[in-house]
Amino acid sequence: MQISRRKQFFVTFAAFVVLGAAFKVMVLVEGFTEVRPVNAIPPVAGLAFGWVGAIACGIGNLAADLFGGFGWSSVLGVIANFVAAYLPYRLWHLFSNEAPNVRSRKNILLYLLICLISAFTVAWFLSFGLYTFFGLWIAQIYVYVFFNNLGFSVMFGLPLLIILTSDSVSIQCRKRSGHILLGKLLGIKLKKPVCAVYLLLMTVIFVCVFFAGMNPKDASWLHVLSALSLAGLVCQIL
Amino acid sequence: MTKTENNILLFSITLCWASSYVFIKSLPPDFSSFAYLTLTTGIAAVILVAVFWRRLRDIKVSTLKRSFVLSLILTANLLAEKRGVMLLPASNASFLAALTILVVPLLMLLLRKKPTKNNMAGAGIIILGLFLTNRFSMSAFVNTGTLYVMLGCFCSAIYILSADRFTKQENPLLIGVTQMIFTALFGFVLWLFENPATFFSVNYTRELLSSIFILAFFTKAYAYILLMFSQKYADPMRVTIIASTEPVVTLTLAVLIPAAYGTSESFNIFSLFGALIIAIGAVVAGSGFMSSRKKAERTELHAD
Repeated sequence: MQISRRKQFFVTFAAFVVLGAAFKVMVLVEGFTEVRPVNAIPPVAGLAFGWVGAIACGIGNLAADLFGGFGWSSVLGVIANFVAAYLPYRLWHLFSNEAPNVRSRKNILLYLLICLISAFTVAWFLSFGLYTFFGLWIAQIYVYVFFNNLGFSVMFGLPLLIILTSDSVSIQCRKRSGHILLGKLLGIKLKKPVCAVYLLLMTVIFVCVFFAGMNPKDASWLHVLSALSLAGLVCQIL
Repeated sequence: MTKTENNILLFSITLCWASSYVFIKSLPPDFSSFAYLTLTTGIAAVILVAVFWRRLRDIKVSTLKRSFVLSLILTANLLAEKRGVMLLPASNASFLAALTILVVPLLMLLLRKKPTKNNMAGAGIIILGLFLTNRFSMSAFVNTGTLYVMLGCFCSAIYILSADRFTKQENPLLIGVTQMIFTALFGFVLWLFENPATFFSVNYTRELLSSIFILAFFTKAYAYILLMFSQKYADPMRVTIIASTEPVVTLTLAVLIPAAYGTSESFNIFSLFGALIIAIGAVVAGSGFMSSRKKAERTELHAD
């Protein structure tokens, strides 16, 4: 089944706004985050529709914020949700030559790995972003955002992808696009090593924040890790 | 669809149903059961029609007849379940609902389909898990709510067996959409008899609308369409076995869902072991290691 770009955008946008707004009452950190089953949408929208789905997720999140939690920090939410959708698309095509599907165990594992990297990324981006731009460090945000993203993208995102790629629906996923930064500009074949280093950085930040209870106020070297992670993320996205 | 994909879908449905107990309990105590039925299935029907309206042209009279029967069973099931859940703690209601795993093989017996030794053993283990969860005290279940949940459980078993048959004869998508429309209509008629003001009698708070929408989207629209798809490829015992892991999920959710939703259930070592035993029972009931290979193959053929 082929869907026009406009329809791809509006379907994703509508689903994101409706689901995002419905759960605004289940607040976890007042003004910042809540229980978000809507986080099931970005990985699937990204895998299916590429950048169109990612933009729809970003703007959809901003629109859902109008029902609660709207503020300057919503800008970070727009970028985080764009990344939550676009990064899975880039990573899938980096590691697999197939169109996105979870018919084999290998593909299920790849989907789970992508969800993990995406959850790490969004949690890091939002919590460190709030600290860098607004001077707010709330460790709970990192934890809640991480589990919201990982949990829902596996619990609901995986079945959603199964339905979309089933014989009955058989959606035509967006094809791969080349890497501009690492590919065309620098011409180096380091995409997979860069991704591995990025995953390592994300894991270290997760261990430091979640298990060791560290924060960038006291451990300033976390800023260095954060800056390296940002460079890694830009390499993946572009 | 592969078997693994199908199992993932069934687990996802179980998760939705398990979470529904927590949201049903967050509804106001005086909220009519018929209003609940009309609003949740009505919103689900609107969502499904909006998404699949192009496919509705393929509806046949036979589809309508079968979905009418399914929606009658579903109406009874949802009303009994809602009434029961309001009278019992969410985790107790979920544990009782898991007894569908006992009712399905019994009904299969009536239909002259013999349950396997594993089904019987698994059922026994699940009962043990149920007792352990409540520290072998049934006082928490001596409640009218138990009767309602058991009635819901019985309806659910009939529903699974009927859906198994109908989804193999009809388009599962159309069955799913039309049954939701019929269920909403039944709910509305009953609500009209109870309170002619119907929609105007409800005090629509933000929390209520949110709960209703969540229930409509996840436990009705999403879960029932997925169930219809899954039942086309799975046998009723597999559906029931995966659904019987529901208490494990409910228990976890009842603890994790914010206290703002009014649910504060304790997670102790007994409930943990009870949930584990129920999960083991479900696995035993679903596997075939107690039957000889020939016998298992024969049973499988008979089931086909």
